[in-house]
Amino acid sequence: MKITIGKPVDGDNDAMLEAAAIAEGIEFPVQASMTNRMPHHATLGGVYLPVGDDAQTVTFDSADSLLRFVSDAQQVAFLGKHDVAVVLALPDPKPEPETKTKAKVGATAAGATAPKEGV
Amino acid sequence: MVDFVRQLGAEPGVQLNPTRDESEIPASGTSDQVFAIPMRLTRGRIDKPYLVDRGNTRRKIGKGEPIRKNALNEAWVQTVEALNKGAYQAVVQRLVTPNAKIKYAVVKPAASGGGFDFSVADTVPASGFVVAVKHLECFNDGIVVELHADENIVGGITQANDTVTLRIRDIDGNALFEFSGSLNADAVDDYGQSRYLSDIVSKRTQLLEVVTGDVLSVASGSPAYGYDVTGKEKWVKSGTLVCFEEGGNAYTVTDYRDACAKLAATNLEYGYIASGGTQSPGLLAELASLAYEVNKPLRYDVHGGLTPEAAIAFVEQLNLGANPTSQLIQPIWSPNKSDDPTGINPRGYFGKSAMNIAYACLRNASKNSKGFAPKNYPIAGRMFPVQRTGIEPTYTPSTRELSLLAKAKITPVLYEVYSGGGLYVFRDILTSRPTDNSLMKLTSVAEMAQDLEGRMTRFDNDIKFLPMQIAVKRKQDFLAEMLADAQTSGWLVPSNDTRLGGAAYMFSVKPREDRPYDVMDTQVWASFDGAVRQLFNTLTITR
Repeated sequence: MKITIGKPVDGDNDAMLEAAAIAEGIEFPVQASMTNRMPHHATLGGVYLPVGDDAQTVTFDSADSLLRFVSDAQQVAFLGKHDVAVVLALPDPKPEPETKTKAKVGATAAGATAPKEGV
Repeated sequence: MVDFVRQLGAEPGVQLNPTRDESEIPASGTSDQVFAIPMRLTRGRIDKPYLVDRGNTRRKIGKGEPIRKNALNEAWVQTVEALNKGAYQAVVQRLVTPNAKIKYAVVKPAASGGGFDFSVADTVPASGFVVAVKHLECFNDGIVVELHADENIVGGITQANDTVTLRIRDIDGNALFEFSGSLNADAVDDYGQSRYLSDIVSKRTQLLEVVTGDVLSVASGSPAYGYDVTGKEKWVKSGTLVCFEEGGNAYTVTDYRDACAKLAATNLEYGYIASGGTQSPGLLAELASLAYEVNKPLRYDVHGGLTPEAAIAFVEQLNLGANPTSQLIQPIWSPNKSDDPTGINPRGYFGKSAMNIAYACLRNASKNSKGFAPKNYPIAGRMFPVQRTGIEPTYTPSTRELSLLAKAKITPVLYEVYSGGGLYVFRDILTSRPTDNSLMKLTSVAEMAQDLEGRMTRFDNDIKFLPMQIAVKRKQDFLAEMLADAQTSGWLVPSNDTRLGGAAYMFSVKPREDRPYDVMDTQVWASFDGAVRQLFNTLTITR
């Protein structure tokens, strides 16, 4: 699934809403690929994105880190007045059987290590 | 009987007026030894900024959490380090999302057994409770509530007591608050002052709200009543009550803006703004706006793990050179790993912008007899070496890359060799001002100019609403003294500007021509001393 991140238009925050919806359906940590569509180099989420370069990989350790990234990319788009700044490709959500989900919740409650959160 | 009166009427007598003070000298205060920082924390109030010093970090901003768990935890490391290395205090605003929620710790009589139950509730219960406590310091790790009532003996018989002692501890057992008061809203002491528990709490602290319920006393048989067989007070004690939900860390620009707006509006004074190692363009953009609004220097980190190209791209995408006060903004890139100065993380990249601020705070603490700190000495080079252990460079930029970094206005932290040995130092003093050959490109000049501006605006507040002629005269006297002292302190040097005729400064204070009744204009021209960045040497061998 792809999220196109640009400057918010009239306060509209579609990219954030899309990211929030996607985050609910995927398992973290997750690797995503991002492409710089701006006319200048950028560094987002600790990853250098030269102009016209291939897609780069970024890791999101939690839904929160994904949402922070999208918000930050929007800010860069806003500062540079870019309608499209970054395109983020995330893996499709995988529906899981109910029993498996329950087992995972139990494992977390039993003290599984909390996932690391990114920048 | 005194031999005077304060207001004489038509009668004969002596009137003594209140002592008049014309000795006051404007004080510069200690605000330039304090920095402000918005940060993610595990403890701390969320509604407004508050002060932290090195003696109360544990209580006020909690224990640090590893950066491995959350990169936002670097702000804690930087803040603690800065407080230990020269910053007098920090004005902290905790970052939160709208999902953050403060709940009540509720003490209720147990359904059976005569004891008490402790629970956490979103709202104050309608009835059936003793007290509900809202702890505004918002500890992620929770609090412990304790309750005790002294013996109330009437006619030799123990009676129920409406006066209780409420104690709040952190989960390590450290006492945070202890208040004694009545559960009865009408209770007064011998002086007629309210003895009601809620009133007593609100009088003594703004960090706790206590609501009492419809249970108005502690019964004599209660486990919270009186003393045990060994003579010790009997207390009932809760387990850990987690009354604050942080609501995640998915901060958006709106959350950053809210935090910075609170730092702009606070009455707490500060002289610098720290970024706490954030790599968020959203937060950095808001911090730059805050720097403009409050006219204070901002120093921020570019992650040390980035290459020079990536570091330059990170800085340039923020476009901070376009900020009207870009001379107050300094990015710092430190391509080296070190031990964690607080000891909670393994070796890693720890930004040094707050350390730079701490050094500036320490420098500002040593003022001369005129009240001027040596701000003409920028925080760089041999005088201000990086005080960290186990520093290991991860990237050594080439001279071409150093030049590119300077063009991007980035201060690298690198190893340099001096007389007597090598040191890791802040290797530049450039501000983000998009200029190549101006005093405004130097951090020292930006700080001195900002200091003088601060003194002028503070004095203006002192003379506001005085009669125009008196205000003009006082401002002229003030500027003459301030600027002369600045020159004596080495901040100002004779100018090449023909308008100044070889002087270091010139000023004009007068009522505005088109609005002479209520508007006063002040113009100051000052020539600051620079600081040397580049040195050229040529040795010519002659016959």
